[in-house]
Amino acid sequence: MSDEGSIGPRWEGPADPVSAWLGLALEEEPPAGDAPAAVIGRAPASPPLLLAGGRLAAGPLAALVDTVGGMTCGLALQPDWVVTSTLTLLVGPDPWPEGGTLVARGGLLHAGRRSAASQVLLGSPEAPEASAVALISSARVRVPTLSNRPRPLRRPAPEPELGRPLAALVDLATSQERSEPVRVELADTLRNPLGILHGGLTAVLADAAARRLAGPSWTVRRLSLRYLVPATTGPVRARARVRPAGTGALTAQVEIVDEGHDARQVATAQVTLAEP
Amino acid sequence: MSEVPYPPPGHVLARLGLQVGRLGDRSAGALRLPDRGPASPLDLALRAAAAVSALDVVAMRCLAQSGAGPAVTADLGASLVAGALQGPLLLQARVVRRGRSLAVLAVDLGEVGAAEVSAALLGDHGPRPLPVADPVGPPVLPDAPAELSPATFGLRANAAGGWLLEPGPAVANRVGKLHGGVQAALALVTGVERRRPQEPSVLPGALDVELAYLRATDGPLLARPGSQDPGALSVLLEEPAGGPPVAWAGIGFAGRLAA
Repeated sequence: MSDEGSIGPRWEGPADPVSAWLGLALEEEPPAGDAPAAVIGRAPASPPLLLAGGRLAAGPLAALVDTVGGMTCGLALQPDWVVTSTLTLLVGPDPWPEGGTLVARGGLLHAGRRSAASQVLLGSPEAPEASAVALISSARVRVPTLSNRPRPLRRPAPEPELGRPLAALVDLATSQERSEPVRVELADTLRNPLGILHGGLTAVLADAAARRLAGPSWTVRRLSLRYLVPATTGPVRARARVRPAGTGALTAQVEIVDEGHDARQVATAQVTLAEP
Repeated sequence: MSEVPYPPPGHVLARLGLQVGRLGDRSAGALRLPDRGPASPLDLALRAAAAVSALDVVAMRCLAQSGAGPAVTADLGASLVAGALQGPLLLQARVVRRGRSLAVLAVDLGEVGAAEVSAALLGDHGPRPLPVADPVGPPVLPDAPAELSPATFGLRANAAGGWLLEPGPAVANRVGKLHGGVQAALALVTGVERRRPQEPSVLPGALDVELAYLRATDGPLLARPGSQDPGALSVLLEEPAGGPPVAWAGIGFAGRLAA
């Protein structure tokens, strides 16, 4: 996210619709020996994280990555906090083994004066790095109401009811004409504690826009977002352009704009899709 | 300060033959890859490294021309069409947004693909890079193809079966640190080697590379690949003596190279 724009503290409690939607529980692992602090996320390996056929759903997975990786960076910079500037997710080709728990391990790579970066490795408890890799780069911000969280962090998954308003997001890729862009109103449940569109949900929109245009047989293998300015007003629109990349692969460029704020571009995404 | 020619003879950018010019508020680059498509995983990795080196340079020159002041690449992501990594490679970079401390640029590589680059703006705190004045107008496509070997990028096979990136003036950037492009080469060669045992004869159709530069270094560097499925792999670039990682890379493969 750019360092400019009108954002401010808005968080008033533990409510986190995105974690509720994903069933995501978080736990901080304090530093031990040479190993830096880590944040472990656990969520049921089921929809919305899985698509039909057992493929990992890149958009919701990116929302999980943004939460785990952002928390890893944010805790490292306390009493300040972070906003995501770049989110990158690469998903392996294999379908998820039946059921179980998806584990996301966020490890800090860098914490500096102005920014932090964390790697997130995703897999099953038995093969914790096997399914996908991700990186979160974030910029430091001063947000007093988010400061001084109790450490080490332990947060069970919020009540599922809280995430129910987000259920419709999984239909965005299929609910309208393929040539139409994805468009959502900026409801409160789509905002993060700073009051702006959640970075992970921005990724969900990019994923949906690319899949809608490519068609239902394609799955997203790479999702790479760069956040430019906060989306504050809405509706938010994501429009993709797709082109072939060899046999069995497509690449897409997605532009995400805040229609209610002079249609300014808030993020840009690159997406790679493959046939199963 | 006296004018020091950059890149100097023997530098990786000179061996790639990269030419840069200015087209209005955009920067353009041109280099020539071998006329036939990639023949092996290593060949593909080196061509991709040439493309990433070029797009990084062209993006940062574009940012410099916009008056942004000292800046460094923070991260970049590129999606490359493997079969198009042959013949002339023409690039154009434009600034998508420039904030107070961060800028985002888009790079169009034509048939080869597209990339995005995030740059950290250093203000008065940054090192002053060697000056470069790009000519106005489209760059002249060189006649000779780029020199593509591991040595071009400062890479040497090490005893452990991996690759070592050796520092030196030929692989330094304009402030004397290891160039981002050669770090990309180390990550790409390592990532493609990891994929080779699984699919020895089929090259991917799309090659995705993501790089996050965490701190500047004079090198040398080793690559430590993760233990993931080779379709989506992470690689940490580290100094042999230890310490925090210098860069993170994510490498993805999709589809098959069209016959």
